[in-house]
Amino acid sequence: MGISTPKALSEVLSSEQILSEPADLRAYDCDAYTIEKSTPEAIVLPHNTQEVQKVVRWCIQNQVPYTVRGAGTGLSGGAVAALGGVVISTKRMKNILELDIPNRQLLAQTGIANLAISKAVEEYGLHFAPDPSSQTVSTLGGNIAENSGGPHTLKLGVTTNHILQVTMVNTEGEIETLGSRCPSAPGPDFTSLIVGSEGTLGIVTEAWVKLTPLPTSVITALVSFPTSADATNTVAQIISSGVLPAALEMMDHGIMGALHSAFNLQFPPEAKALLLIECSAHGPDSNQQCQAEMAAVQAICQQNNAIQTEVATNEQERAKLWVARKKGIGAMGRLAPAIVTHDGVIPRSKLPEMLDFVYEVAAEQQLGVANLFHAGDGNLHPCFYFDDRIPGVVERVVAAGEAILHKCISLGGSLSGEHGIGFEKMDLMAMQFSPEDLGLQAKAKAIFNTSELCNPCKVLPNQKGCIEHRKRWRGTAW
Amino acid sequence: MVTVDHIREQLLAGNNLKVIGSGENSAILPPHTGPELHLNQYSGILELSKPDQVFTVKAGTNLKTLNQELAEHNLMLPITETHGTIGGWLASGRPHWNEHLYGPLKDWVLGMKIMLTNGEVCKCGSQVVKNVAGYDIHRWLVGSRGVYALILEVTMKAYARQELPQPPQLVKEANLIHRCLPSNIETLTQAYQELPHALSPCRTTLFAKASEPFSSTRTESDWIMSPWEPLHGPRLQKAKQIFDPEAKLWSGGFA
Repeated sequence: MGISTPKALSEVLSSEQILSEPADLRAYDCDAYTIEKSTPEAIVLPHNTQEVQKVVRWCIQNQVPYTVRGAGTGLSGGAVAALGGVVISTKRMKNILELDIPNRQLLAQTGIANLAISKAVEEYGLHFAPDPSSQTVSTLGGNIAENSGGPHTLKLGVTTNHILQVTMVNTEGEIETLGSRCPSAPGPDFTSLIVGSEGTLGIVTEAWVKLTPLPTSVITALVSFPTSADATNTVAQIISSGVLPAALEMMDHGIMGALHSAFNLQFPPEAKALLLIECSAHGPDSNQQCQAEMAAVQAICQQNNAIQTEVATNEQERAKLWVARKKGIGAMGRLAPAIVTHDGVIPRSKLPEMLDFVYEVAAEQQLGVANLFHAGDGNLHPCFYFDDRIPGVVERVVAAGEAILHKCISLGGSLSGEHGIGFEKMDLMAMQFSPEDLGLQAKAKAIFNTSELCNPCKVLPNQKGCIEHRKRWRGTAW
Repeated sequence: MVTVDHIREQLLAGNNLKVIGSGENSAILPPHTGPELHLNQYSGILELSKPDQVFTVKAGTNLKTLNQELAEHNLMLPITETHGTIGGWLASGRPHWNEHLYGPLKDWVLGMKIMLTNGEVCKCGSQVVKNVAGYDIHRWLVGSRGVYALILEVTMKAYARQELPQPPQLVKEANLIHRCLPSNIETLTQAYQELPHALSPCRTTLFAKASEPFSSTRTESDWIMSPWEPLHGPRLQKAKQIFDPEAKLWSGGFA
């Protein structure tokens, strides 16, 4: 190990595929969850499954930990080399290997960017449905690892609903294929264990994905409300009415203020919350269907005191309305030197209660907060903004985050809707799962990984060899 | 009334045990000779939130009863077949008639409470429609035939009630389900001329009834679910060693 790792790796890859300069190591010491860092010994850039296999076999032989990484946009530390070792980057694995338009499927290497898949099949009226906000850069492999969602997953489902088959280099260093191009093959669904496993069960190098027809009609509306409660009540009523919008996103007054100061977006002065609602449909009756859905949605908005409704029916107008959603977090960056976005889930009917709680916690911890929700899914993203140079403020942000997650669990929700556990929430797993439940999780992991080398110290708490390291990170970071 | 303790007692004393709901979905699985653990008395909806469109149900609940109760709340599980129990459907992994509209059953499963073969009761997944905490064990268990653990309860998404296409009677009786890529469906339909069969609305799946083992034409990447179709794979065995080392539960025909 140590200095010899990069050099020794050149037995299996060419030297230009191995990065180990101090600047490289720094660039790979964290992902988009920047609070905790760990420096790898080397980064490798394989071109294909066989080269990944060579690296994994080398790591196994030399007992060096390894961690796969896509674009590094993960928000829970999943791609960080927790125990050092080798980072296996999929940066050079971006090829589409097979395009099967009649069957609406595509085989790609997992380093391809999410949006690049959709761009490649746009001319056929198809797209890859999961659309995380990071989709211009985040990779297919990263989406598979995190089971990524996005604003349109309310109707179309998350990543796991769109993955047919995966090829991976397993923790024994073998190439293994799971799943089937014809979905729901007989037997237990091992692919479902791999999707969302945060890179801890092997390295997925190629995947067959489902392609979904692009909607032929889309109507988008941005509706403002006098109170957050009016907006959250609207969401709950839309869901129970049976209308399933393609997207149902909420922004509170904190986000509206940020959008106003950053982009000069104008909202009615009495508005305190926004809902972005998109109805979409595919097929010959799509226009009629969309109109009917939107009319039903607007009626519910009116019953809940909607102030103003802007409706977009063409691409240009739609893009304008989506600015409020897509640039919301970016706009927050202008309010304070640092922001932290949390991720939790609650039953949709509990949105009003949850939002009140978030405001209480922020007041208690003297932090600024703004909320952006995938409201239709009950997936909230409270965003705290603060000046991290003030002593003690980071601790207060962490305390606020944990209080919010406690509340999510007590309302029957989940620790994470789409950002993952990584090492950010590893120690919080015991909130959602009993020791027996965690034992079951460990059993599931053992089907694929008993090695402690493949992305160690993620997802499950109390892994051997991880506790000491964890103490050290917390010590240096906070 | 069957209790969890009663189920545990049978499981702990079990050997090559097959968990049975109503038994109506067993025709699609390999035959089993050995003891059975009956769950059809372990039934009923435990929780239902209409505003969240989520419910939790005991695994032995009859599908027909379940949909009747959901209908009282103007909800449904979008499956028009009426035979079998919810646990039986999930364990068998059998495809349903309206997959082209609502996706497979596993897409509606949010969480499960299961009993491991050491008698421990654990939960996996969640009760909310979006969750990435932990491995998706609840999805993995769909289609696992009751080989690794016993499904006690399931939390699922419900949908607003609508009229849906009804399957032909043959679908319930099918003991051979063959799915292919959409581009190969003509070839497949030809191959099944001699058997009574029905083509699913998604045009990828044939439901057929065979009185004896039927050797079908195969097409690229297709699969067959039938009592004669063995399942292979090192992971099937590895999972069995971890979850049921003493073979308290049956093998499911996994070779």
